[in-house]
Amino acid sequence: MKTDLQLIQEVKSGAKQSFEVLMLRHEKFLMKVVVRMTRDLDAAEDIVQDAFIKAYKRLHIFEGRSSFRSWLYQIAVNTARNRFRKHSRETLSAETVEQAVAAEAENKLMAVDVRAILQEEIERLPDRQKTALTLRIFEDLSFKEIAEIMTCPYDTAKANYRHALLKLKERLQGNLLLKGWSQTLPAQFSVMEMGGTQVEVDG
Amino acid sequence: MSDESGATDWWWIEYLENEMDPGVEKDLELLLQHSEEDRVSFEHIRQLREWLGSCDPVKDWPLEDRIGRVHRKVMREIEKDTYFAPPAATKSLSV
Repeated sequence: MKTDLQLIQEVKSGAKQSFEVLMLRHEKFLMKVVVRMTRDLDAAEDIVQDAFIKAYKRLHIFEGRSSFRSWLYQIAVNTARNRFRKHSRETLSAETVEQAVAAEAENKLMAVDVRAILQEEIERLPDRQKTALTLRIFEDLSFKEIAEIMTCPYDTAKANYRHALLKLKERLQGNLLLKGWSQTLPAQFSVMEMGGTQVEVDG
Repeated sequence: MSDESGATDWWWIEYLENEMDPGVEKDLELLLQHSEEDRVSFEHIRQLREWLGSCDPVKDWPLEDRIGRVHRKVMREIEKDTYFAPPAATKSLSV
């Protein structure tokens, strides 16, 4: 299987069909992260489309210092930002969304659906923590890839992820309904039975 | 070993993410076997991570059609584009 870099070289030499292979490799990832950002399928469709076309047109400046996927992600994020800036009157600002989510979270303190609570709490996380957490948990990316996407050192990506997780834990523990969360565990508790995640992390 | 500041939680996260040094990993496993307090603390993190895995808000969104449409539109645009057109064949001047 050809690497992304090989495919990019082929595109630069005029083989447009190689770009299609790149798209097939990364379009699902990109659509998911953009939909997660916008929560709007139509907007996400436009942003992903623009991002791929921009990526194609800027391929000559791609030097391969980061992965193609993280480069593509950056283009999509910038495209989304520009779009929201342009449509700021029609679209809720990030601040408004955050306030609305926070208020809603308070109202729903007594909700029994842990998933709903967590989804709200994820929305309340600072941007970089939320990015690290969602890329790790939902996209199963290594910390190396996350660091590339976030354009930060490996340890910073990991620290953002940890802070996010600990903040969520703290907020869940603050929820009265979850006070009894795993208070006791069987004495014969074994690490082997816990099925720790097998996520491969480079470096 | 457990404290209220959550400092040990960092260790559990390292452990769950397979980021822990193998030597320290063994010590932690031993600790988990002998300290109920640490078992509870570890289990909170493990359970939270497991819950988070099922929390993707867009997991069930119908994306396939959208992706297909984007794919077709982008490829149509690219087909029209001549930026990366293959270099024209150069004629040899030599006889």
